[in-house]
Amino acid sequence: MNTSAPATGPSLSLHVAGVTKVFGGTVALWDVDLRCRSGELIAIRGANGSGKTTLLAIIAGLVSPSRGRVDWATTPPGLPIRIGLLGHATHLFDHLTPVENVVLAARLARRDASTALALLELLGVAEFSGRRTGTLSTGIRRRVGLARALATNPDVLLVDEPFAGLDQPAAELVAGVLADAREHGRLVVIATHDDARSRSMATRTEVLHEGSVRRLTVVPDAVAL
Amino acid sequence: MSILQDALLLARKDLLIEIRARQAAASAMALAIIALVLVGLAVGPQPDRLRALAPALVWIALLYAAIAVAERLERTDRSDDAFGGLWLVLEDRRSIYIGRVLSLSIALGLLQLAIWAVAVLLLDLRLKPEAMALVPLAGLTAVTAASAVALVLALVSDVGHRPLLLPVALLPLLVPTFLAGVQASAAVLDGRAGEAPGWVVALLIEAALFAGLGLLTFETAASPA
Repeated sequence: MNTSAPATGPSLSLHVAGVTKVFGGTVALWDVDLRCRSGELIAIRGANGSGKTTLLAIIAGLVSPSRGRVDWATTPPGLPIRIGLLGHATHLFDHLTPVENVVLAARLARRDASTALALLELLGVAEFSGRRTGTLSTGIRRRVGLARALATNPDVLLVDEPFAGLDQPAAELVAGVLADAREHGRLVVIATHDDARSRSMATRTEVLHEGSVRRLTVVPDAVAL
Repeated sequence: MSILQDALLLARKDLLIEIRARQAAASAMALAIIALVLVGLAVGPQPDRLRALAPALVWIALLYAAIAVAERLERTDRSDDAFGGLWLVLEDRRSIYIGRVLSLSIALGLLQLAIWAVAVLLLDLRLKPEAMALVPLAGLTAVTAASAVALVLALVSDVGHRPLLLPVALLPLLVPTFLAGVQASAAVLDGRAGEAPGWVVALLIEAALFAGLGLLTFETAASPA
């Protein structure tokens, strides 16, 4: 089965323009620029604490930048953009089962609940669908969280450390799902330490440098569009 | 009316979580039983005094229940940033507020009726047929209290020490609701039903005020950004 039903949303582009984020006295991001568009899979690499998670949260609109802005443009203009996020958090309710969590997200996004069940199947977690989410291991939760994000039929999929806590087969499964999402016209942005895997799947890799001043730098494309 | 559909889905989710967790409702019932037994023992077999005290005792237990259930639901939403996931998927985020009012209204209405039933048993209250008016009155007071609780939850949601701030911010706001609820319940219990409509109107005005403020301010007050 195909993970991602063809994206029904707009063709879009994202421009992160001079974004700086300061938490208290700590500079998390400094003057970051990034441009990307539908159909790309951008891998953002960087050491721990380099600001990858903060950048994804700012793109999602869950954190405000201290300076700079995030601009979205759609074709045709002005269309709503749906963002799916799997951050460090999985955005799941512990007392609900995986299937309840995913179906809730699908229904709130006006999607068929059967899509949600198929996504759990595809990500190899259907056998856990009747258990309370709070009792699941980290790797299973991450996959359920990804199913939840995909169930909303997002135009943009933001995933922080998509391979963290996953064994080899599960990591390959998730990599395939993310690549499939890109092929169906979504913009996919991942933050990862997994250089080998991100090189093999990303259409572009960006690096957040360490230090008080961090700037995204383009690394030569690993995979041509 | 997609906002109402979303609110119903979210209210169902809240109630499912509360039914499975059970902690808040159970602790509220335990408090009610302890308070009613202690007062019953302290006052002794004086039916008129016990009847006069019953509405206030029920309302004290209800206030505790309101804080306990609300804090529990909010903690569940904030755990693993489930709230952030809802925020991204919803077209109209006020549905979170409406859903919370609906779920709290149902929970507090049912709890209030259960506490009244315990009060009737433990205080040996002799009810007149007019006492059936306590049922719709419980519904109205539950909606009023729920509108205020959901409003305050949104205002203190992103503040540290929320468990401490919630009652501090909420209880002064609920004083008029408490007074109107106690007076209306006492009038119904004593067979002075003619005095109840004035208090009912006061409760309706308070509910409209809290709900209006909640709908106006929710998106700004509860925004994670």
